[in-house]
Amino acid sequence: MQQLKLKGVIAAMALAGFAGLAQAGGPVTDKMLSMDAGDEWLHANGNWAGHRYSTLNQINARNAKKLNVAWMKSIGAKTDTMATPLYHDGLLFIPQDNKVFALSADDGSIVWKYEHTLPEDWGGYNVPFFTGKHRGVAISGMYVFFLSNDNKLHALDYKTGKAAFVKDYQDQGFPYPKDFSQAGDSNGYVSTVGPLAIPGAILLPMNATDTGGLPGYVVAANPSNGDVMWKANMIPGPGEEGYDTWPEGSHEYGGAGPWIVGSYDPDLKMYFTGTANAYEWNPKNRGGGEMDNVGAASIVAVNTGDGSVAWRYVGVPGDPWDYDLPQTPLVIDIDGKKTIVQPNKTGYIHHLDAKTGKFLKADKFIDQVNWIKGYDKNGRPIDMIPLPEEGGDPVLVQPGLLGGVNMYPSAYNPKTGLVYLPAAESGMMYGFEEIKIISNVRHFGAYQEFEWGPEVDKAVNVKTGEEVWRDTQEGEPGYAGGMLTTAGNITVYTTQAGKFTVADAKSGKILYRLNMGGAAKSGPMTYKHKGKQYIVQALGGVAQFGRDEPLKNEFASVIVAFTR
Amino acid sequence: MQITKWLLAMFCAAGLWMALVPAGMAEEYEVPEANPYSGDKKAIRSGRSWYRNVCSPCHGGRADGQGERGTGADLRKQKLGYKGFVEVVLDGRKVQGRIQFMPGWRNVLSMKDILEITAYVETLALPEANWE
Ligand code: HEC
Repeated sequence: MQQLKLKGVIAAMALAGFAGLAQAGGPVTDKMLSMDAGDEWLHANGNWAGHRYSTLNQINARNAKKLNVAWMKSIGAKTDTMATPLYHDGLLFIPQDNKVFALSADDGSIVWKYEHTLPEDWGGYNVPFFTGKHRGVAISGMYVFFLSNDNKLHALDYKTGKAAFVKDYQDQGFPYPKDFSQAGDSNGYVSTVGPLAIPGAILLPMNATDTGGLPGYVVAANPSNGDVMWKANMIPGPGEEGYDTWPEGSHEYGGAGPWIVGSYDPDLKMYFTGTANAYEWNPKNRGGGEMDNVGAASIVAVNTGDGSVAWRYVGVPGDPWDYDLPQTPLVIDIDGKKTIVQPNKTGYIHHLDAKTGKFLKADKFIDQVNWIKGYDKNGRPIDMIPLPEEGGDPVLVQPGLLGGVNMYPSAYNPKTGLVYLPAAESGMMYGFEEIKIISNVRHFGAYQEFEWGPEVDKAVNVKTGEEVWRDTQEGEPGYAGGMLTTAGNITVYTTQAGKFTVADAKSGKILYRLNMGGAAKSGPMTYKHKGKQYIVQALGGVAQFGRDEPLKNEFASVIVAFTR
Repeated sequence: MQITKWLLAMFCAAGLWMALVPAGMAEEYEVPEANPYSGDKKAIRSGRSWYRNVCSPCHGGRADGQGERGTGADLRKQKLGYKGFVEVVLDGRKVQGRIQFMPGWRNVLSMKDILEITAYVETLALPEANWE
């Protein structure tokens, strides 16, 4: 009996060990976090470099036309689904509406659900717009790390969903925004961007930009208890380069939140993030567009050892257009040089030296750009159009404030050397008004009217800047939810109108298309489970930003897994 | 000693009272039979500035429902009548099954601000709109 039991244990251990190899069960190690996405998908953007590239090739350009729906599951989203799920050890993890779901990779069934309740006095400027949206979770060790809208870090056991700790950062200078009618000061930070797991830290983007303009920080939290290890300020502090590009006192409400999940380079030990627009949108309190406002509408590199800022590059000096530089800065090796490649709202793909932040070039990637004629060799805009007058007529600006690309993620395929963009032709009539203040919250002092062109999904040669292919959604304004590309020579995206698409990564030839009947606002991902590759697309939300008529879609919420 | 304690207690109670009763008094939000600012140029100018700061993110600069912050209604077509419009602005409206909603502005904007915004939106009316 004893003997038998022991044998059983050994057998079970051996089995577990084997399963561990096959399924990479157990804790997520730094080694696992450092790899490109393959069987597992452990970062919102697939890897630290933000590539959204998978080494899997079971589904490929030759067989993609035979894709089938493996399963579908609704998580009952009540607002846009913007997160790409993670996959680890047979489970998919996705945040939505201040909940986290773990779904079985077999059939999408809910294995556990974690729910967080927002405070009673939650509210304020633009807050209904942000509430319930999340752009991803992180995983490290045994925990899924979730940042709720009220900036609390929840460490959830990935197998059970039980919280090991919930850390609140209010006493660290990060209040949440409060209902106007209940608060004298309603300014606050709202977290919709997910954390990034790196060795020894969980990096939290603290963003308050469009809820009153409190300044942005990247916070490093200790993975075992959430304690703050350092805070990196996006807007330069006294003594830092660029501090004097803001008038006295304007730093305090200058916005510049780290905007969208950043990328990480393990050699340089730097975290790279785009930052939000400068606040208020009307620039009169921060130099009237004449001062650079470094740190806002910028790309910022943070040394992850101590949180010091290595460099800041401002892509839209004095940002009068609400042109934040969203999108994860891609870290790409170009001719042996570690390069930051970021397509952004401006209509250009910016290239910077990853180590120094030195501007290398900016390639225009959409047809209609009127706000500048280009960038000079120092990375400064050439011939920016004049600003509208406060209270006067609005002016035509292209791209519009939603940008040539927005925060819907791009992808990079090292095999094709192409970067894939969920782009759109767009414009706006844009004007300034006096800046209104409610409950101590400064409002935009600006407004806009859309002038849409079509969604255009495209591939651009990262080295030359040349467009290689495009897929125009005629009469359908908006952005695809995000891009995925793989070693199987495919690029996958879902148009905002809901067309799930698999294209030949090299040629752009459409290999498979299924109209899913609802808007996609998140990028697809892929994983291998029990020997089979799956591609998952989460759908959910309102098509467009307040514009469903041309797309003829109503609100939808469903997660769909494809396989062959 | 007793008295200072009592004063302190009163002071705290008053503070609490102030916190609970928001800025304006309830009667400030009585909806007048007709909008006194309708057609008033100066009021419309001021209402436009408020509209563009606080309403346009959801309803769009043209009030056509195309805000960059989500799906507000097309206010040019509004069918609620003048009073119905003001009541929605005061108390907001939840949207079934959605997080995004129309926030209420009672105790946030003054009645004057709201009536000025109303006077501005009225100037954008499409033929089918009802401002009676
Ligand atoms: C956070 C976004 C948001 C803001 C800010 C906002 N609204 Fe709305 N509003 C909505 C939504 C969403 C609806 C649609 C509600 C529904 O579908 O029932 C709506 C509906 C309305 C309606 C009802 C229209 C109808 O025909 O039924 C009126 C009137 C209105 N809003 C006026 C305003 C005004 C005036 C302001 C500025 C003071 C404003 N709203 C600010 C989101 C917003």
